[in-house]
Amino acid sequence: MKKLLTLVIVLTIISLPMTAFAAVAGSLHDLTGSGTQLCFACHTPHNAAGANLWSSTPSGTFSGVQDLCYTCHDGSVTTHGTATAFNAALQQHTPVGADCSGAGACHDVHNEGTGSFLVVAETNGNYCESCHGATPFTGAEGLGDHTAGITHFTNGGSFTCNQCHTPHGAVAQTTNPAGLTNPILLADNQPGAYYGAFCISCHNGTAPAVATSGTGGQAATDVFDYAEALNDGTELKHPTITTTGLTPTNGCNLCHDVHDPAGTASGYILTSDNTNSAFCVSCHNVAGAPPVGGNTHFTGVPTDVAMNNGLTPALPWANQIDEDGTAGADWPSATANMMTCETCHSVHRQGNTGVDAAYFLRHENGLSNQLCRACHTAN
Amino acid sequence: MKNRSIFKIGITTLLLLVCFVSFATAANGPSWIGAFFVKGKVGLKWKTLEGSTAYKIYRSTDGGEFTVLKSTDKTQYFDADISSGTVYRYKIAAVTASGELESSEKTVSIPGVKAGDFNAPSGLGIRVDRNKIFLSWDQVNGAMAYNIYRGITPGGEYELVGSAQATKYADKEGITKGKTYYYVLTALNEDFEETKYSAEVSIKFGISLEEQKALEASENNIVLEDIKLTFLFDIKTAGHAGDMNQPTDVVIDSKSNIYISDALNQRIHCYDNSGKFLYSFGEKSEPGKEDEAAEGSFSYPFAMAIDKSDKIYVSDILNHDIQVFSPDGKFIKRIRINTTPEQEKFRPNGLKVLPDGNLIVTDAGNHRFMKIDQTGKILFEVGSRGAEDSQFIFPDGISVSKDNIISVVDVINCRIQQFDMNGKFIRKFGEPGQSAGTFGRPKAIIESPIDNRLWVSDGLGNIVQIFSPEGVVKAAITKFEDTDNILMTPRGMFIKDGRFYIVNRVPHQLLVFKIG
Repeated sequence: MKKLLTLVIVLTIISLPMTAFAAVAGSLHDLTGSGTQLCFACHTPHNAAGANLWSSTPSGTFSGVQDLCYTCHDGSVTTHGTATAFNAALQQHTPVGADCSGAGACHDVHNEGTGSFLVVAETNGNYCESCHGATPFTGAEGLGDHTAGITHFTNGGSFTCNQCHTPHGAVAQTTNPAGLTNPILLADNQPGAYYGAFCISCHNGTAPAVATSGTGGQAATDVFDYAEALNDGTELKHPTITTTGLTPTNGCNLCHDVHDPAGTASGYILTSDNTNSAFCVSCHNVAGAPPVGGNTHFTGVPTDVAMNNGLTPALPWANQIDEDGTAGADWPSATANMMTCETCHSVHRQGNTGVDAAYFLRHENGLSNQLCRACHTAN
Repeated sequence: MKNRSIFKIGITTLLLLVCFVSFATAANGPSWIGAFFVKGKVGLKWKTLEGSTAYKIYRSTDGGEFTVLKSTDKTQYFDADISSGTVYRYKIAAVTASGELESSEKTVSIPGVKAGDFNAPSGLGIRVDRNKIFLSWDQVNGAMAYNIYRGITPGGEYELVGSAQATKYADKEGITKGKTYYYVLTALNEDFEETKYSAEVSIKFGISLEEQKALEASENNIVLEDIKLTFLFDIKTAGHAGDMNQPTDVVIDSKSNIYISDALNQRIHCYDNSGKFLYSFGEKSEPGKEDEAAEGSFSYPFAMAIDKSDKIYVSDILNHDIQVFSPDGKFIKRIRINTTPEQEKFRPNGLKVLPDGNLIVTDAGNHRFMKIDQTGKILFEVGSRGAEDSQFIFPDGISVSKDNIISVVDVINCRIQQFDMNGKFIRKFGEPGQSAGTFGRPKAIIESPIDNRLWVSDGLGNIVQIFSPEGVVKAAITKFEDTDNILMTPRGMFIKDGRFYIVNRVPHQLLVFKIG
């Protein structure tokens, strides 16, 4: 029995390099192409001066095994990854484990795995969910990388992580909101003052075409243009300034989190529920933003619930608000016929008929206070 | 029998005497339940003494006077104010109406060693085995762990590199072959009090690649020459584009202007002979349309060559072409190579312009080198994938000597193959390895106009080796005496007017030296 156990152990030890050998043979890392002496392309068996039986340990700005990888992935042997994974000027996925290849890492240079020598599983068209699964990934949870149940990608379920992110060669971000360090996005989300430029590259009124019908004051042909949320200096948009200055420091992320699992419950990937404009008031309370105080216009259910029909389209009560023009009212549990912030205001200029309105009002008010008089017809 | 009676009497007397003495010194205070050292504290517990209103705990340290440690109305106490290697004696005094009634004494010895009595490790041994430096030392009485400190100068600053509970340690992180390291140790007691440094030991960690090449060259009766290079300057700037990003190659024109292919910025930069930036040319090709790239645009400019009229030839391994530019950067023409559907796309890694205007170019995609004319017509081609003579596995740099010898870098076969101008195989030299004359990842090759020797850069060994025209290794360059710059994935090289230019890819720079 003891001899048998010894034999099993010896065979196991012997088979380990043979397993690697077999996995490399015929793969893209079989550099000799002959199936023989394929180890010698990277290793030297005797008196190796470098780590891992390399003839020497290369040095560079990369880390660990990646420096050896670069001796081929520098364009001389392969062009694969030369401009992306091996471009230190671009953002790369944060290393998982000690190195890009080996125990705990995404790649195994000795195993083609699921493609590109990846050892992580491919799921639903991307590799991300192997790690970024149903629960926030340790170390990145503060940034909300939860992929299960998010509502951001609604285009028939065909959207995948790699339509916004790439693990290698992501565009280096000019600036990041606090707490965000390595978003590995395909484009710069804040090349200027406003965070959300990459968001708006899709949400620009042409793609995705989410606003095709609905009530809430939006014409069917009036494609919802979130770009109007930009503070471009010529129009008054929803302010995203700090309390200490006029420099916009945030953008879409001030109210939305594309990966926040709470977004499913809150709707519109808002970080909090806005039924009866509660989310609006959570900022417009005291010092955080212009507060709604005692001298603020009445909110609540008016005596005459038909008084809001003086404009076309009519100003929506809390339970009639439909910002995206799809799937009915945004806040169906809102109080019926209640006047709230969004009755008069739309942070994304929803329902604006084309004439710029101050304070992102749904309709221009003007010197004649026509917006006020639309309801207060007696005046 | 008589003696036995006397012995019994003696024993009985002795026992009575002991009992008397014990009775005379017996405490009438509280009775002990126990006194123990446990979990870093001394726990004391005693029985209730009727009539007591409180208890005073007396402690003596290392035979000193008893002093009151604490008063309590409980019958237990934990003494946490203790030190390693110290002997404490305790007694409990019950406070009664008639005064204090003391218990007997209990002695508790705290394990470990006092800080003052704690010696630094001694008997240090050091040796190198493969890729580790092993340290061993004698056990220090009372030590719970040891800290290992390392320095790079004798008696110099040390950094903590590890800890060990055993009396041995293997250091393998952050050490470089050929360097000497200096170690000192400390010991830690239970209170994490640390001793002074031990005596220093040192060892040279193996030999550097350069030393190994010299050693093995010596063993093979090869005497490597000392090539003197004087550092002049380096170039990192890409002008208005900021800094270069992984440059690949360099050529020098007849006016000594310097041209560098900046691969990831997808441009060619021109500098004067002092390194002052002059201008750039080339636009970025549209991604995804590499085969239809606009004239003068680049996806990944790689190799460069220059002809006798200073026209600049630039190969692009993603656009699969060679473009020709005037010295001031104006696009002249594009040269493409037709490939069959069975072939990989043309990937021109190495490039050389012949005096008659024809070109010698390697094609890494199809493991061959070719002679082509200015239209891209193939005049002859040599190579297929393999390790036989005239076969290649990813050919890279190429040079043509004054004697019309074509030298081709055969990367994965780790060798140089030489051919005549008709493509006939002449010889090969080099093999995988780290000794003199062997290669890890040979990249580029040039012929020195000074002595016709061949200079070969190696991106794995971070080295340039110099060979005779016939392939006998003559010298190796791994470091420089007058600059902190080191070779990191070196590639393109050029020698002109007594200057040696070399592209250092990952540091994103060109290094310029005076030869001699």
